[in-house]
Amino acid sequence: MDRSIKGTGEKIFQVVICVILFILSVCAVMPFILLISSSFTAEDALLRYGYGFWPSKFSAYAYKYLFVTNRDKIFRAYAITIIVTIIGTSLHLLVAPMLAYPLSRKDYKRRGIFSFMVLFTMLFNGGMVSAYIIWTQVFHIKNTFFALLFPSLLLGAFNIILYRSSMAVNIHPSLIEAARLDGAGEFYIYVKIVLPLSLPILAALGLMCGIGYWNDWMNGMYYITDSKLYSLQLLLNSILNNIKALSQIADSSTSIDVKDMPSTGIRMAMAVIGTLPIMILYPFFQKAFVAGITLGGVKE
Amino acid sequence: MEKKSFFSPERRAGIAALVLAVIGFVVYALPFAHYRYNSSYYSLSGYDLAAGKAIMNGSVQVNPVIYQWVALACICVSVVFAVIMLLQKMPKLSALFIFIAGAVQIIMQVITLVTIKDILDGAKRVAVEPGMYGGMAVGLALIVCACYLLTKKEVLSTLDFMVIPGLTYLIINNYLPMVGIQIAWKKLDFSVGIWRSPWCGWENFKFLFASGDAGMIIRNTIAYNAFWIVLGIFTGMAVGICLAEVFSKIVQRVSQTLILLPQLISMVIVAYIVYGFLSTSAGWINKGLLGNAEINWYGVKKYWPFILTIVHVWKGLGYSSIIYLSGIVGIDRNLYEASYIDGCGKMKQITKITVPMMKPTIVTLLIMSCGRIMYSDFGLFYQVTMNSGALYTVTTTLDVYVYRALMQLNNLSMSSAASAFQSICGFFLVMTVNQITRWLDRENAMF
Repeated sequence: MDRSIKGTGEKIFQVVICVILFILSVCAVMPFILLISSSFTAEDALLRYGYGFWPSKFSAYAYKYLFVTNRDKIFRAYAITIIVTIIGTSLHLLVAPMLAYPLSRKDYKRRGIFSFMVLFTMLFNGGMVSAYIIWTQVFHIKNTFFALLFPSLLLGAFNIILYRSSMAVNIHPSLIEAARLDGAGEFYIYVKIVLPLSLPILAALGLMCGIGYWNDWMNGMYYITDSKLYSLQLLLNSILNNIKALSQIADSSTSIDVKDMPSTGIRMAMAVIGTLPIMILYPFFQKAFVAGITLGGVKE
Repeated sequence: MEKKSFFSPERRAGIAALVLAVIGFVVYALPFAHYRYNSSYYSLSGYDLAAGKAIMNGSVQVNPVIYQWVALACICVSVVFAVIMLLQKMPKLSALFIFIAGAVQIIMQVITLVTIKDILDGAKRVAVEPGMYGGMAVGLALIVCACYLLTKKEVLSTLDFMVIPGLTYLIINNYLPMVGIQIAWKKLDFSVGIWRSPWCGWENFKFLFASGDAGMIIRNTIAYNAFWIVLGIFTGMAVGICLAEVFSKIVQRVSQTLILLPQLISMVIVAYIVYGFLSTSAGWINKGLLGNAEINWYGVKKYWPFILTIVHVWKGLGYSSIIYLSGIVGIDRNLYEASYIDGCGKMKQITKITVPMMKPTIVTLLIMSCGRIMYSDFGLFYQVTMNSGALYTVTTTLDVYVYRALMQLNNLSMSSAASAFQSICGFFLVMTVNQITRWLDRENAMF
């Protein structure tokens, strides 16, 4: 694309656009700065001046408190989140493309019925209560590790459709035919030809799935009551619940609110800890992330 | 052509099935369950379960178990078809029957396993013994044996086996809840289980709609969604156009990266951030912006439609703008060049080229989001509002209501009715929306 800026009208236009984008970017980032700066502010300064965009009095006490006093809890939650994310994403990458590949093959006999089975889950679902009852009463996953792994997150019909259409477009039938003439079995073709050629979409959708697992708290809220199994997001969720209790007390008299506040900064530090790994990794996976969003937005 | 050896696939499978059937008959003589009563111990074999047995000198009678009858019949069936296979007649049909026999065998053993307490009614301690698992193993082996022959006969291909794990997950995660939706018409009693609970007609729905909350909840769900769909089109398109039109690639890349940042984090973190702004005693708005104001944000309803809208736009803007951007980038650049030569300014290009060219995408996205108008972002309405009771009338959407009724109030009848209402409405909306898309543009319809 060879574009150039032509004329003053265009120049003004560019300036306006840049200003708009600048403002939007600042708006997107400022809340994160509030979060980080508050987590590095000393308690007494927070109590006097509230959360701010610049630490009025620098202190890393909140982090020290979390990583020294509550080390076990934090590391446990981290470990659970990391394990769930890794296992969940691996299972997704193992199962989802394997279901999508036969459906992408025009010469596959049972393509129609299985495609319909996948598609139908997008049209109708049993609803949250029914799913909850099935998972807890039939499969008994309440308060087990599997509760973080299996319900709803592992693979969705939409992902299958994305994999399927990508494979249908990128893998030419003649390629498969040639491999078969050379004596390759179906599974061998899948592993050695289809998967390597699908790497970009595997990366994009695998990443989306991984972020989904990392950020998930809903399964935990429904299926986990045992704090030993709390993932990072669930720990954050339960601390948010304590704020709730706190603010309810605060409604009757503000003095109790102030007295209980040593946790003001710690909560913000907790939130930072919960997002930090993703933020650090973001520049590296940004491209795949954008690809994942674009794929999800426009079919085909 | 293949040379005909004595060990053709049919014969191999037939021999294997025959051997398995014999093993099956032997397994049935093994203890399937045991029964303790008054410190005496009775072991029951598979045949005992099928035929019924008088134990404790006839004072206790174990009735014949129909499931074991069926399971035994399955093994007999597989013997018959194994012989047919050995005669090299109707291989596909017999393989199919052996497959079914194996599957039914497993299902029957599982049913016996689950209901063993009811079968041995009155026993002190009931337990299952290895024989029952042996029965399941025989069933599984029969299935494998049948699959072998079906694969050899090219009825099944490797591709069929590849879809199994994924479809199994979909059946468990999506199809079983579809069957389970019946609980909305049932009076659920956990002591007898989901399937045997009594039906109660439309009672649960009557309760839900009589409670008076239903109207408010549905209004909230639809109103927020409708407003946000429209708002999302305008903001997403505007930002998408800005990103597409900006000349500097660095500005484009950096701003796109930054605007996407909120999309990465979970709603729990968003709730913390919002708390950082709105906390009564320490929030930035009260302390920093307004200087020691004491507005109790989490207690006043009238602010929340605005706050939720701001948070929603903040989190979703990057996502929607990138979707529109990818559409705009796909527009033919020559159109712009030609319009420039004809003397069009930028604004005119946007209104006369970009927007009209994007219309199909916009309409598709609009219609698709209308299909999900009954669903809401649970995290936004539950976490960000901190589930504050004072805000319920403006923040309760269907998803929030279902969660609250199920997990906090333990009101199974109301929550199941609301949840079933949501998914049935959702189904009809999606079908309608898809039909409309088909009329407008065949290409973009889902099916």
